[in-house]
Amino acid sequence: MRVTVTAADRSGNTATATASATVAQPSSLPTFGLTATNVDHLTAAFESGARTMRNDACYLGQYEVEGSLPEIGSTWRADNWRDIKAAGMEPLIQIHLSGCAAWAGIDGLYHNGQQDKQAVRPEVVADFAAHVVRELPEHTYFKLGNEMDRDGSAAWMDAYAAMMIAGYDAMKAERPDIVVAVEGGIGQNEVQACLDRGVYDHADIIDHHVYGGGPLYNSGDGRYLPRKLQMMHDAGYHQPVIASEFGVGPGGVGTEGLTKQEVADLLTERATRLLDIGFSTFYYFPFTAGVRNDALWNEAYMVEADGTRNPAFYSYQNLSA
Amino acid sequence: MPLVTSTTTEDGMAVPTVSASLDKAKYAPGETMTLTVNYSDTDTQSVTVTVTASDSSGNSSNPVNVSCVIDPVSLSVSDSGGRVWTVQSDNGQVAVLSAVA
Repeated sequence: MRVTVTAADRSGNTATATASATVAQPSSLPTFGLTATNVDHLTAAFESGARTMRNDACYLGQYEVEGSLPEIGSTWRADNWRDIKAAGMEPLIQIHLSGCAAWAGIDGLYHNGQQDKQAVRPEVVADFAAHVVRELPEHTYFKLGNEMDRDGSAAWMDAYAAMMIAGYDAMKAERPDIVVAVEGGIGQNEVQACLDRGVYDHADIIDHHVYGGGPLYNSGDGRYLPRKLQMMHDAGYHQPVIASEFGVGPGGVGTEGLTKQEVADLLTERATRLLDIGFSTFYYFPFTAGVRNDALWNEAYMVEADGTRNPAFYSYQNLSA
Repeated sequence: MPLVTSTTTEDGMAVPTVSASLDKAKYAPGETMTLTVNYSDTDTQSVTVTVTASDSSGNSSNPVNVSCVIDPVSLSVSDSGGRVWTVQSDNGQVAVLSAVA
């Protein structure tokens, strides 16, 4: 949390000062929230819920494109969400911007041609993001965008920063009680670009996607995660850091060829390292077999499709104990 | 709890100075946060004009005082979480504000 004070005199002269502090997140913020009991009852619900959540976040925008708004978010209110909450877990609602882009028309900026990584006008992001949080009053935790801070060009980062700031401000204006996560930069160049543009002044949580041997361990492309966190700390930003996508699957080093026990050991090693550098919350992916058909992910599942728990499940459970 | 001060200038007039500090580095949700702001401007002056009316007979009225502040400084506060900060006190040099974490 950063407070900015501006002093202005009648002559038009101004001075500003800032002060920062950390506001702890509510205790309901999940920290390795999957207990054995939860999984017994909610394994399937959690996975389907997670996927429904993401698809719907995109889909909301499509509804807007069509000019109709039939019961927005009806699936979000399905019993699986209530079960998850009843079990003490809080879903993180990822707001993709693909539907938003189609809704508004694009500005011509693409990132790798991916639909959900187009730049749109900031005011459109603001309208869309505010709309989502207004229509989902039972949810508290939101994530704005998905892996969009991945192109260090100045033009892209200008567009990205404008979108994130406009979206965050609109969401908080709509519902000051919500907690909004913003991505923490795929590389050091992107972190610096966001710092230069004030993006992290508009974020309650900093989120990273951490898979396999990727951003955390690979120093290539300036992606070494501890250094990125240090950059933000040195700049005065101390928001909680989470991994809204965390897994030992592909990401530079996959799990192909490993035994299930070796995957479990790898999970412990990587999660422990993340905890050491300040991560507080993890959303594991993929949790249940069948979520992804990519053979590269198969060994990373915690639970088989028939409910059989892999050693990775127990590694995760031990970390959460 | 970093402190950063920056200024802008208008020709010929003094620039205000301001600093801000919070009473803690970490807060729990729902906790009261206290922000202390110290500010000044060398152009700011309190002026009191005393007026006395006299007639040719040497009679004078009681003096009347009129006060004003030249180039006063106003404060505005915003935070990254969109909270509302409430002024608890302000004596023209030190302002104390509070908000709920």
